[in-house]
Amino acid sequence: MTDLDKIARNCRACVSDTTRLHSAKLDTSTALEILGYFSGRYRRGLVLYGGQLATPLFWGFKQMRKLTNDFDFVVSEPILVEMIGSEGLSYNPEYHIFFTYLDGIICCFTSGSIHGWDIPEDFFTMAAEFKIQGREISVCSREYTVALKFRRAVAGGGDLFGKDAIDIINIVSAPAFRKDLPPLDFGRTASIVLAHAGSGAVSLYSSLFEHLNHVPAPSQDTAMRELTRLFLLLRERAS
Amino acid sequence: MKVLASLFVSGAGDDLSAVAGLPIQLAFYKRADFRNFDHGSFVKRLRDEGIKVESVHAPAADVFHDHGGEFIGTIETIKKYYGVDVITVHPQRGTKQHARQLYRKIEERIRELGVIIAYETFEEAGDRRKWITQMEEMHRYFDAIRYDFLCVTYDFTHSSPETNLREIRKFNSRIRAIHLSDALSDRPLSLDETHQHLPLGYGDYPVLEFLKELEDINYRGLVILEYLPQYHHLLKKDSFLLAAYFMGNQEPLREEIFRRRGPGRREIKSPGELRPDPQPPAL
Repeated sequence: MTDLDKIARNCRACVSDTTRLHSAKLDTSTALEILGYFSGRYRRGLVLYGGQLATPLFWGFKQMRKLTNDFDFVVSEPILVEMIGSEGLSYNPEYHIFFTYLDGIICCFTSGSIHGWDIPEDFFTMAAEFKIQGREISVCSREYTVALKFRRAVAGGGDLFGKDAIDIINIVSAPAFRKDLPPLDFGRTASIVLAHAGSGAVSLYSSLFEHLNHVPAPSQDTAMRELTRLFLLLRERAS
Repeated sequence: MKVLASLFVSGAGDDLSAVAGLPIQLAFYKRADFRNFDHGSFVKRLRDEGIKVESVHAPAADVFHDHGGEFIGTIETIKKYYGVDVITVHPQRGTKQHARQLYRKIEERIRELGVIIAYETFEEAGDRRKWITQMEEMHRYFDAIRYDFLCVTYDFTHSSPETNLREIRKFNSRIRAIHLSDALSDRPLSLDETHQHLPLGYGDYPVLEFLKELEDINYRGLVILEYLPQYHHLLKKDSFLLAAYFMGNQEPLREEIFRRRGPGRREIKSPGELRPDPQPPAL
């Protein structure tokens, strides 16, 4: 397991107890510039994950909520060490993340684990490549993106954050609306959710329906159908 | 079948967040509320919140309020601002003969407006001064007087859990709306209705059996979730679970009802002790 505290000490990273969540609004062009910058410099060994993926730029089909104003990356340990020097990453020991600001937007980096969750090997092999501003960037698979959101809810005591519920709906429904996306492997998604979030994900499932009003009305029936497909597989495999 | 959430309002500034983005039944508590209501600005607020009014509930209005043309004026105002076809009213004190006479005066205008006046069903043992309360009685009487615009809103929790499935199988041709919620069958009838209008799964009424019956009779009208205000936070979730159910995706709703009726629920002593579902943390 990667010891981020030790890396911070060894690399003499600046330690900051609090991360200043930048209030500046992140627009799409700034997002593209930031992604283009990191993917250009560190393409290999860097995987984007988190709420940014539930947008039409990646796995979503609609901008269903306010664009999240941060970026989260998983990087390999050697890349992390390199970035501490080259990008001047600071370390937050409370959240166990390295971070920096680019164009006033916070960009967070971790290696080996995400908030105490050990990153499995297939997290990297399943990552997908997207072309952003002419540069390829690796992004977390849909299966793991959905699983991480369920995992956060189960680990946090059993409530899905509203934004996570909206992101799950967006990602699970997207292939029904976007012909450029391959179909989601519902069976594999269910297995990964159960393996990493546990069977508690099944009982959380109905709370997704609470947020279907964020889906445009003509698309709600399709979104319900896709959510139900995943639900049935989750329940079947959990039992 | 179209699923709606019901929201009672008393002023144009009322909080609409519980039903934002949903199709709804808009309900007005009192006749005075309705008269003084700023419908124009309210319609704009509804549009801003993505709320579509598909039906209106005017429980206090009835044909007996004919002084100054109040009843037909209410119907005209509803049609003008909300454009709905189905208006649910509660039967008030009066007689069938008097109601028929008064409807004769306004039947032409009602037909011009193209609206259905749907009378809500009530408990048999309830207020006996209401002019009509029972499903069979409404079907037989409305058929007899041949007013095609008089129909029925069947309130599931105003019915008897022992007879409601049989009742709806036999008499359903005039049902245009269902008021759906759950109820505790072992509680005495109370005026504050706290034993009924509970979220699906919070009571012991045969909810799933009733939904199946609606499919079996090929019901095609409105199904309206009508919950007590303290459970409005569940309206969005339950509306979509119910809509998914009628689309053939029945398991999420079944699961939710089973979960809510799980261990512990039966031991609850009074509806006031029912714990609402945990609210997600503020974003």
